[in-house]
Amino acid sequence: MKHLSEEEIYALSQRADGSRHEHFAECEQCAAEFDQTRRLLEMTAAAARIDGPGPGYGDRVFAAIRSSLPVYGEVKPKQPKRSWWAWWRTSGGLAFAGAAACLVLLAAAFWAGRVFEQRRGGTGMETAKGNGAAGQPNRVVFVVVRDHLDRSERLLMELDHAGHLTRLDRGPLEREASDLLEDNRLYRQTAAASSDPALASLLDRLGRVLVEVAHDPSTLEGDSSTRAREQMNLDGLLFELRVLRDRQDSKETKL
Amino acid sequence: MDITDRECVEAVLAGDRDAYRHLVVRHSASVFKTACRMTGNEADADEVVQETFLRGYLQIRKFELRADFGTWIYRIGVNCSIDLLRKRKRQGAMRVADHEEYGEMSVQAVDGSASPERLLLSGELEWKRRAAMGRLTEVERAAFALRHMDDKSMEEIGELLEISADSAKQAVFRAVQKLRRELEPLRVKQ
Repeated sequence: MKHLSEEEIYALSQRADGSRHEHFAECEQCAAEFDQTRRLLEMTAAAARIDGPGPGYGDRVFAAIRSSLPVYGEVKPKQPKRSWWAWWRTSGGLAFAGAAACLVLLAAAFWAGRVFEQRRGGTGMETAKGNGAAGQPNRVVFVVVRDHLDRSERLLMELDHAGHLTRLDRGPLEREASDLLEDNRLYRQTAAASSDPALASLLDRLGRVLVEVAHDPSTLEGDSSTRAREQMNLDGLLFELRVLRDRQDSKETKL
Repeated sequence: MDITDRECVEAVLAGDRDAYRHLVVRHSASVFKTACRMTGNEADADEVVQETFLRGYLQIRKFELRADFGTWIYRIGVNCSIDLLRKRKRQGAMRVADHEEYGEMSVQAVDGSASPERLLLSGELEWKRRAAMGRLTEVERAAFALRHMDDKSMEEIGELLEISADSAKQAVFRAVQKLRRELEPLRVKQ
């Protein structure tokens, strides 16, 4: 006897009317399988008849999950994309740019000034040096040298007109000569370096007189005083000094 | 006036989170029953229901307002149930009853001519059935439960499990075969 397949038995077991196939009357094995399958499905259907979760179940479920639910309406609207200019304006960029522009202008002005000065003949120091080399010392040099020459002239005049001096009389002259001596050395060196031979020569001879007066008081005493004055040729030196001072004055006026 | 499912979904999307409560109250019982049938116990079903409605809320932007929310959430519930079954299987928690423990057992108390109601009276038999269900694969178990507990057609099962109707039919049949063999020692002696 040919048995029904399991699939056929399963299909027969699902008949809604619950009728048995005629084969089962003849085949005990297939009938047993059929009954077993029917019983399984009946058990399953019975197990499916479950009670609901009871009243208030939905509320309990919602309460349990509520805190995990995001609120969709709270999503912030997307901000329109800001242009770089708007960002620049609101973030203090303009102030920064202004400050940077000022710095650039300042630097440019400084640079332009330097270039202008260089084209005009170098820096202030170089100008003074260049003028000195050309025999044209600047106004400060003129004033200082002129003052030195004036003081020296006054000292020489006092020496020229002084007779025999006592120890007390010659004290101020010695101190003045000593003061002038140091300045004179500096001006002489400067005049020699700036190629002004006339001034350098005068200051050289003036220096020797000042040394004599400051360190050898005997030149101002007794007969030796007259002799010393002749040796120093104070009159000639005074004349030269005045000529040179006049020349300095005229140069200063031109400047 | 009762608010419709569609209005609830729209309210939720507009920022009214509590509008979702109406949907949960309305559909949680049916999801619970299906989950209970698939998982076999109320505790797991409860977990499935919460996971289902949480997942539904998070995916509610994908819900098409023309569709039926009940069907949509039911499908999510089935997927959540399958996920839980997989999880339980990994954890080994499905071994409610050991096969060997009942393998040698032959229940003689049940008469062959007994009505289905009498069969159900046997707690042992029901226990055996549940244990056998636990040894099915997730797809077999889901397909069988949907077919014979939720009365879904093969097409609906295929759609829910994202398989073809033929595959769904095969899955249900394999489940029946396995269950029948598992329950064979319980064959009522004539």
